[in-house]
Amino acid sequence: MIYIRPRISDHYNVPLLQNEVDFAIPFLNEDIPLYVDPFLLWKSPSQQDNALHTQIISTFNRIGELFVKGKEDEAISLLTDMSECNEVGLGLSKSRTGKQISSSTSRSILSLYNTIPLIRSHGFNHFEQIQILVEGISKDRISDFTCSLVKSFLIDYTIDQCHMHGIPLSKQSITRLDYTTLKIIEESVDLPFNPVDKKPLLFVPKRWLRYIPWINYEDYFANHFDRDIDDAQSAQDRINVLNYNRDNYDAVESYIVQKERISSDCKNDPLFKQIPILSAKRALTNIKKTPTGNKDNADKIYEDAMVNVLSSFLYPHLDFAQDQSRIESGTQIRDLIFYNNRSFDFLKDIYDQYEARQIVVELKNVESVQRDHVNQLNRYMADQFGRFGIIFTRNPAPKNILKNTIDLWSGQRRCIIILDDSDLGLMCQVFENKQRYPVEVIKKKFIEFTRQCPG
Amino acid sequence: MKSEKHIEEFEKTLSQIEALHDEISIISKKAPNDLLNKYKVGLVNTIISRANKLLRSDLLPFADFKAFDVDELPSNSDVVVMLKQYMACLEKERENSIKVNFGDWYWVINGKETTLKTYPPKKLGKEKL
Repeated sequence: MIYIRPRISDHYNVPLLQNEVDFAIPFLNEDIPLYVDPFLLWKSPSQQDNALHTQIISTFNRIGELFVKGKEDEAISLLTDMSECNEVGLGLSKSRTGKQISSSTSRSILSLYNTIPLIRSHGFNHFEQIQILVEGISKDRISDFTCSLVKSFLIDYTIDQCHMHGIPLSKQSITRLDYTTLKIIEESVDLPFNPVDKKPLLFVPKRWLRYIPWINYEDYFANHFDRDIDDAQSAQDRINVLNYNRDNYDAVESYIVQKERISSDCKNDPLFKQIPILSAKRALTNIKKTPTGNKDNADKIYEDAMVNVLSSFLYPHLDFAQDQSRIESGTQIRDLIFYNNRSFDFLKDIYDQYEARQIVVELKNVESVQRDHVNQLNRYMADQFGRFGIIFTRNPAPKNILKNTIDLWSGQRRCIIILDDSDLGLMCQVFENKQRYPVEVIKKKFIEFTRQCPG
Repeated sequence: MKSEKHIEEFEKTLSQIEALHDEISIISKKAPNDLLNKYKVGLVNTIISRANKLLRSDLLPFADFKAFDVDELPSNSDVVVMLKQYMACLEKERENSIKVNFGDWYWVINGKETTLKTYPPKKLGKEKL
């Protein structure tokens, strides 16, 4: 069976809810669009995270010291090796592989230990500062450096989490920094592996992840960089700002102090955030106002709003995989794919009975669902998904279409349930008053459907 | 009524149904279409199933109704309507099992008047003339 946006848990058939596990569940084909922010380790209430931050900083500074003491090539090579950590799969790569920084960038970073006296004497307190001192260093690089510097911990953490959740491990070869000798070593450890590229995977705690590091160039430039120092400065580009920062390190220092002072505002970002109730209600009103058909892009407006509300309504019981479009018989069809984590009795039932490992929800902004729509979904399910699918449309399905879906069940044991605006309204109501779960509205429809089925 | 225990069970069930009805009516007035949570539906079902055992089959509000299906997502107003029906039927059963004696009302067990006092039928004085 082919998965849409497969995750490690799907490959091993381990039902995990992103909301319930401590780590970000890695995708097999692409990166998770979040980054490890070392500042979160620094401000964490966990002594272990604080200790890891101290270790990151001390190791980074030791590499700097190596550079200062004349072992430049060794230090540059070390830093370059640590500039990419593909095993964690964080960032924006669509292939789970990234590139290391160049030797010259490594040299620029390490030269800071020579050119800035305070760094030479005391080292960095937060190495994220290199973003505002050196060109070519962005949030993904900070994340990769951090992961490389705590790789040993991440290996243990991953093993631990795999044991906890029953994810199979196998002997994998992985490189990491040996902190005592400051050498990159290769070792063979039990780790989960990515069946796509056959490479080992490392899990990262969710509490370390943010979209943007707390200390970052954009924030510095927008909120701290004093453009009035030199009128010309304000119009200058990033390189000049970086040069200015290197020459006036106290400006960077004061920025760091300020960021430390307001560290209580620094929170990790969730992997998925539900829309607020008010937005959900507004979206529902818009959906109800949207006419059926495709005049004035009504279908697109309907589909876009549905992607937003459904993914929020069904979280955390169904993790949203993605929305996608396909062309069938000259018509564009939009659908939403959810991972079936079997987190609810009914979800387990459809997993067992209909092999629904992922749930497809097809969106139809039509006045009345037609037999063709049911057949389209049926054909689509046959290709990729199990034997369970949902059509979301505007009005209740006519009797002959309901009979068609029952016939489909009788003949092929395929279950297609049809929900409409009134069900969406009920989901929204449940989402607001929290007395029941929106996913129970689907369950209700499923039960109603099965009661109509013969036998 | 069959026994004193039966009366005790009857009175307890009726007062619980009335209490539940009062509480859910308050919620229902504010949001009649909101769904009742699983826990509350479970409570309602427990009391309704007790009432089903106490009522004679011809006095059950609806022959095909036994309890709410949790998965059918009953709303506040659904539950209020049904509880009211049960209250009416239980009251009817009570009227059939009490007698007046010198202005006071007493429970009847197996056709014999007892010394167990109760309150008058609720519809007393409300009959159409």
